[in-house]
Amino acid sequence: MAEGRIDNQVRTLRFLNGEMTQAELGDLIGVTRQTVAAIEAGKYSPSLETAFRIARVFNKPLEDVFQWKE
Amino acid sequence: MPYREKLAWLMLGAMLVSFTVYFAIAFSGSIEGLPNLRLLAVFAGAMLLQLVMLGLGWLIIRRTSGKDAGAKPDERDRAIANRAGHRAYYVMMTGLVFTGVYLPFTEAGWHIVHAALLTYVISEVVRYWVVLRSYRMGWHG
Repeated sequence: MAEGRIDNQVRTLRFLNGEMTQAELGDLIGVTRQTVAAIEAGKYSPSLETAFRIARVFNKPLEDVFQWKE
Repeated sequence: MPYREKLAWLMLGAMLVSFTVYFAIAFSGSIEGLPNLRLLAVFAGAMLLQLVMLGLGWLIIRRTSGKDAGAKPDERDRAIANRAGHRAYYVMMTGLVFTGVYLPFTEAGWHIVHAALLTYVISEVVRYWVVLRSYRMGWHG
């Protein structure tokens, strides 16, 4: 199995989008504030659906929000 | 701290306290030879203690959690709960096989009951430990 991790730009994109709070983003994508915090901290990898929802909120392609690092 | 992590700490703590009290009395030797009803009363007392701790703790956590308390479990909460239940299931099954298949040939009466109770406690400890570790250390599913 290939070793790697998922990096993300969720925190940066949140601030660039009117300084959106974690709670606001959570409400938009259907997860709790703590889950958004865990995603940003790299402690949780969201489901594909949630990842797409996040990308859609920021109006970015998925690869601009989440990156696979080996 | 997520609301469900707080609940997991509460349930783990309440269970450990109540069953520590119960097993301390049960294994102290002070109830040897007592009718079954006395040991059942000790068990009922321990369960009442657990219920009181859970009730009070839940009220405090709910008051201090604000909006988080009313939120439905999201995908991360469900995934962690599933993972914890999965791990605890195997512990429970191992204990029950040991208690139900092996112990009847070597022990009797309350020893078997206590072994079954201990199986339940250990499996629940494993469940809450997996929940807490998944929230604290992170888990990628």
